[in-house]
Amino acid sequence: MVSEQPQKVHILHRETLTMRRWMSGQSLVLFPLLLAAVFVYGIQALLPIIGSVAGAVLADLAVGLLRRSPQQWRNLSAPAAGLLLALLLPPATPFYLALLGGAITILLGRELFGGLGGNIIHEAVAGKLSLLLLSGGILRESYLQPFWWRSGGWLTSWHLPDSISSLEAGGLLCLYHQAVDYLAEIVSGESAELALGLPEHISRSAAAFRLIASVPADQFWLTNAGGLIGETSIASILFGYLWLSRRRVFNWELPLLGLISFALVNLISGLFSPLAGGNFLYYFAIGEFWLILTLFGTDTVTAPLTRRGRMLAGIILGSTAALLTTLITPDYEPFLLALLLMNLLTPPINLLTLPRGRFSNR
Amino acid sequence: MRHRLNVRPPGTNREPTLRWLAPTGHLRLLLRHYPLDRSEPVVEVGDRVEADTPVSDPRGLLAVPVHAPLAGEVTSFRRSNNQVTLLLKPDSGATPSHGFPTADETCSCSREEMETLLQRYPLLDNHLPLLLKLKLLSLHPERKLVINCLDRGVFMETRLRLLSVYGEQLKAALQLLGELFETRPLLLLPQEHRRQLLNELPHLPASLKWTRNKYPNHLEHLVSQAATGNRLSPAALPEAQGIAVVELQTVLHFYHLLIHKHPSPWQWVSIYNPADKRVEAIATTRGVARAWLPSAYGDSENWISGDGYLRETSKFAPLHCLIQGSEILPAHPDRCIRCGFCIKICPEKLTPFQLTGLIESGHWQRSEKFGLEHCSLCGSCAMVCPAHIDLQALLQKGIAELHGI
Repeated sequence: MVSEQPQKVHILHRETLTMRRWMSGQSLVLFPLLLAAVFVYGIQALLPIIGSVAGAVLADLAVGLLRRSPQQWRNLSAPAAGLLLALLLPPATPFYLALLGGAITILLGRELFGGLGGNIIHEAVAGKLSLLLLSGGILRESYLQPFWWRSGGWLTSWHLPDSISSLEAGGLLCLYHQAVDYLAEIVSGESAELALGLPEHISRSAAAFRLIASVPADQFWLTNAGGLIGETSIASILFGYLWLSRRRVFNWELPLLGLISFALVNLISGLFSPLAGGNFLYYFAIGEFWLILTLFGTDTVTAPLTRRGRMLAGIILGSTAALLTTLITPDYEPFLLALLLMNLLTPPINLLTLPRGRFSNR
Repeated sequence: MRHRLNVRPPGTNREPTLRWLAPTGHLRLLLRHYPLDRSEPVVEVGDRVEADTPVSDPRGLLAVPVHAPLAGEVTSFRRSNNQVTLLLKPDSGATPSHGFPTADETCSCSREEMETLLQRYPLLDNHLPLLLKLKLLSLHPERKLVINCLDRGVFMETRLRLLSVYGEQLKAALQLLGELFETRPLLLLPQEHRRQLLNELPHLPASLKWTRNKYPNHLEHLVSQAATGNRLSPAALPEAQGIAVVELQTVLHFYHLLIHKHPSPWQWVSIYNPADKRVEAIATTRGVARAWLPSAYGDSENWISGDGYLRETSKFAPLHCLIQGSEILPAHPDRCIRCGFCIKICPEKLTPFQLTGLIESGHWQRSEKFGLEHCSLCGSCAMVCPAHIDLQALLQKGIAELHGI
């Protein structure tokens, strides 16, 4: 009824919602994530963050001067882009590389396409991918072990914990852990009454379940495996996503459809996979998966504008990521590449799904 | 009672008694009626102006003079971003020459009289002039004049309330419009409130033919032929050529013009009760720092909100800023970030960001393919744009170019 309408309009209030507030809000929700990163990887994780933000801001200022629009830094979109890039960098990235990455993010990712709002590919993704190509393997050697000062040593490859005590995982997550454990037992035929002759890859992935199902329990709050700055805590990522959805258009379609299609395609393509397939739960424990699905996938500039379009994009994102992880390799940025494909397909999706007016025949 | 439409206070059939609140400071008069208007002041600093005398000289093709709402003294001018604002210090105790519009005012005009009045004052009011739209419309044999009363867009509450309170006036205005331009005015009503509105508007036919399957593109809307009260089938509308969409407020301004022989100095404003979260009354004002308030509400500025600003207003935001939304646009708007707010709010289901992108780059002919001609210039998109792009002005420019104005 009419009396319920104000809530509908309320987020669209013009005086309260400016570009500056939008962008600063986007930056502020990332702070829990950055704090978690500093907590896990030490104070030196601040270096790439500062580097990429500084690079982005400097590049934005330079472009503003060149374009004779010296006020363009004021909307604070450059620091937001720099922070988003920092989320995709390993914690021990050298400062100069982060600086370069920030500049590339603005110059190549955004200004080459005509400035804010003109880019087809997410600017931070463009920055990260070009940095991967340019750095010649330095990025891949910049990972740190969580709390490395306690155990000592640098981490250069992904690390999985062998086990976790149920005490560490609390509440619902503990239940989740147990349920997955039980599922693994059934599927692998270890429970006597269900000892069926299952295909080998299912038992294999079921065996992997035991190992990896323990990951989300604590990585949900803080990581226990080395990774990017942005994937230290799934809880912070989801918090940021939900907080942002208060202000901007609530894009739930893309993450949800992405999640479902990832799980389904992962299970199906696992049947034909030379790698361990069907273990989508493993990826649910990876922060990068959630990061790409929520904070990067729902970026307004590069995501489709209509509900149907977002659903389609979610399916594309999820299934591409699943195919890349199961059929090719999970090692070489499958989520970033899937997001890249989704971004490239966004203009045609928009073309298909945008409304053409009440009086049109479509 | 759950389904009752709360467009007026329960138990009342009329607007509550409104009383005039004298302005406390200066009045700020924006010397333009719509975004492309070019007007220069005809008064100088220190001049005294009487109420309802013109203070601007229209320069644009479609411009009409702005009138002073109250008698007072011109204190200064402000020029920014190609627009002029006049600051007027009203005399103490000054009141507008005519009060709040009542539902009792009736009008009968000859066709010649109506034409002369419309030539002099083509009813700009932030929209493409009614006269111009109707002239374009007259080129089509199957023309239809559609009055936009939809509940999407930011003017929803005001529209519904206007519809409810001024139903009789609206009916008369539509009849006059229909006679003048030999067309059939249609009301575009929100579908979810259709039954309630029909109950509250006795002059509308209670039974309307309405088939969902024939009307697939705009399920939630209903077109009813309001002026004559005949039954109709909305199925013909999508195929029809030559549809001019006019805002409900413009029609009421048209009626006011015919009654008072003078363009309305009003901008419709909702008075919003934050406690009940609903609109209690509508009042009108233009360039007036304080407004007509229902006598029960006291002086609290929190009761007032401009069209679409359906929440408590800041105590520090002058009402004028709320009403003349275009005035608070920054000089350098940001670029579009494709948030999709404009698509979400557009009552015509267009894509304003795409249209304005094409218009800005000079490809306004291509924007016809995206339904530019169906834009009713309601300004909802400009009001919600977080980048503060003046979408309304750009759309107006595109429409003007499309028709070779």
